[in-house]
Amino acid sequence: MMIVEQFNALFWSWGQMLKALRSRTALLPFTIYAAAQVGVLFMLAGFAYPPLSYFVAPALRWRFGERVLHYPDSFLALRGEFGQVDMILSVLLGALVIGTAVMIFAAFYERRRVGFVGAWRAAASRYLRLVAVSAVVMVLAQLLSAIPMPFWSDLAENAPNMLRLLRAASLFLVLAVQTLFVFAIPYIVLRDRGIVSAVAGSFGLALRNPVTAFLIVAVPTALELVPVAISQKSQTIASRMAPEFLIVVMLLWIAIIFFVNYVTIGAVTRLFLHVTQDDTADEDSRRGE
Amino acid sequence: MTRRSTSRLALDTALCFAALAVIFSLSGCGSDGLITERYEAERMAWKVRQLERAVRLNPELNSEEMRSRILEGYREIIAAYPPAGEPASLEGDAALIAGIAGRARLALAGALAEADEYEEAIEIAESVWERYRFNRGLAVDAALLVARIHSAAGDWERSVLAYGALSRELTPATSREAAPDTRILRAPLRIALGYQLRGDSENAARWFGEARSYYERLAGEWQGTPTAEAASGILAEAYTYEKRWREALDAYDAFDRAYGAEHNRATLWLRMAELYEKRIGSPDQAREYYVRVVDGYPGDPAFATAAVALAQQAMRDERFGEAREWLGRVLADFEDEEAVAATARHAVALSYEMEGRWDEAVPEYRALARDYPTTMFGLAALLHVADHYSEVGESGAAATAYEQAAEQYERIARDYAATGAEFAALNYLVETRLKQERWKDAADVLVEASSRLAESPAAPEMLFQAADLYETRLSDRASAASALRKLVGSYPKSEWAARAGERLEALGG
Repeated sequence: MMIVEQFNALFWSWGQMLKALRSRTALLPFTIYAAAQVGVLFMLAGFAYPPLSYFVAPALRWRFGERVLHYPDSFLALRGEFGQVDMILSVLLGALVIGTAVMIFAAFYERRRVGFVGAWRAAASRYLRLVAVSAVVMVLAQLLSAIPMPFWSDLAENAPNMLRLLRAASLFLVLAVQTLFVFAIPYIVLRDRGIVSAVAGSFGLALRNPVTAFLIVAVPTALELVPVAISQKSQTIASRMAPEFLIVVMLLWIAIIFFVNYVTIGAVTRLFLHVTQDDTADEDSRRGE
Repeated sequence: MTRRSTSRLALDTALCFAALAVIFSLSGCGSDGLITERYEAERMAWKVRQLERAVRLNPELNSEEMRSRILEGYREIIAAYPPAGEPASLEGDAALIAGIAGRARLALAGALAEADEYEEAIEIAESVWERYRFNRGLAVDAALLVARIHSAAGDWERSVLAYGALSRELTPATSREAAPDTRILRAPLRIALGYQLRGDSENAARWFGEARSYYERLAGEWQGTPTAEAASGILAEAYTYEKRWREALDAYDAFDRAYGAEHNRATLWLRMAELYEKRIGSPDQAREYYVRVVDGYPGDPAFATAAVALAQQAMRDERFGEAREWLGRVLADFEDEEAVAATARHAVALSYEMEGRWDEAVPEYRALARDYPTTMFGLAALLHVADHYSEVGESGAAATAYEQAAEQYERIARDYAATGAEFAALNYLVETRLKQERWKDAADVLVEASSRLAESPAAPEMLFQAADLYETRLSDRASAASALRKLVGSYPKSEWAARAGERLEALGG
């Protein structure tokens, strides 16, 4: 697609995604994921009280050290703790949720009827493939964002602007990787492809529509910078208001993740159906000739 | 994947999490069962500390209600966490809870003492000393607080008992390698100094003797350890407090031989040099130590101190060239260290002045005021130049110099508002205006300064001085009365308020 066509496709996908808001079923998978996140958040925040104190507290001590078990450090560490648990959650539960959502969005766009349970079961029947793809994306994203950090530690004092630039570059790379894999789950769920074929197909689609695919991933993700920026002021929030207020910040983060996931998956599914329809039509016409 | 295998996977995952939970609970990583109580105690303590912090940072919040809330907060912690029955065996969260409760008791005692409620304060602080001895840091703080409260309550003898108990019942270090607790080490010296401050020379002498014996014993018993090193240092300090300069020098010398090292010798030699120079009156020996510092510590702040001292010696001996050579080295190496550089630059200017080379001194003073305007020497420089012209009868030059000085002080007061420099600059501005005999300007500056520095203890005096100028120099009774009314209204409890009231009455209003 030409660049103008890609922008047209981007805005058309978002427009279609907004129409999908009429289907409340499409909200359900994300609601389940957000509920799981809220559950995790309250488990982390309430680690000191029974019955959580019997297993969450030791796990936190093992993973993050003694410091996070003390007030108010427990709340200051909440963002890091939640981030790590959410990584696991996004692979184990998120993959299934995204698969279900793709199924529901696709049915809406194709004017088919599909219930939540049916979509969930269909996605669950491809669970291992979904988890595998999600895990690969997660590992790559973590490698790209975490590995350079030890090499950049000196820059914080010596060249802070350079550090900011490198961090932005690292974020760009992470988004680029996510863009390359973004059609893999639709391929698995809607075309029942194997892992390698789905990933290859996703790379192909993303590279043919780089601007649309990248912006579909990157624009909603930019919203996540809001809670990140707020939680960087955790110390100030804790001392000026109350450490417990950081739970509200985390809830805001969960709400934004909800929105980001909905917008991204809705638009990606629409774009996927559109571009793969073209492919199917091309293949049909070639066969006809 | 079939529906059945999906359910199986979910069940397996749930079982894995449950197994992990059991393993964590049973392993050494598990909680000791008091985590909830400890966490609640930390939360309560943090909330009270935040209130205290808010009051400290914002004096407007320092109301009776707020103070009551703080006291109530500490009382709640104390009520919720009474002292443990078997404190010696406390560990983990139980020890932490006891620590929080002990700290709350000390904070409450401190707050009560501040409100002059000494009896309850002492009772609470003593309970910490008696029942929280297992927490060494807490026990030391408790003993010191008991001593301080007794002292504030005017019962110095019981304060002495608390300091004495501290040094008698707790050793300053727990092992030969550990750094000593200097709060314990200094306790006997505090007693001696307390008596000295109260003019009780007999008891002061007795306690200085006790303190010295204590330090000598520790230096002997703990030889070669950080505890002995600290004790030897404080022993020498004790001699200086007693003004026994020779013995102090001998003690510092012994300290140097036993524990002198790269990290402490510069300070030690400077101290010995000062004793030789200012107390013994032996500049040659002082010079020997200053030279040692200069040779041994180039680039170190101690070098600057020693070099300036050598320059001052040279100036006293009228060796001005040599003095400026030393000062030049300081300025070359410490140009960015404002206080050091300003001291050196002032000494250079002074050396020209002492040499009678006033024309060369003036540019140095002006450069000092320009480059280091907010330092003590920088602030005084321009007024000094003006004073000099005035003293030698050059009234035209003096008038110009005073005006330049006033402009400089106005600029500093404006550019460095809300800093210590603002206060100093306004003081110099008043002094300048008084020397210029510009009484109205001086009085107006005083009134303005009292508003800008309303929280300063000097504000009431400024208003009184302004009123005096309005009345006696300008015969402006209305302005005088206005300044006095402001004084009485804003600072009714200050010592100046009564005098202002009388003056106001005399003015008829």
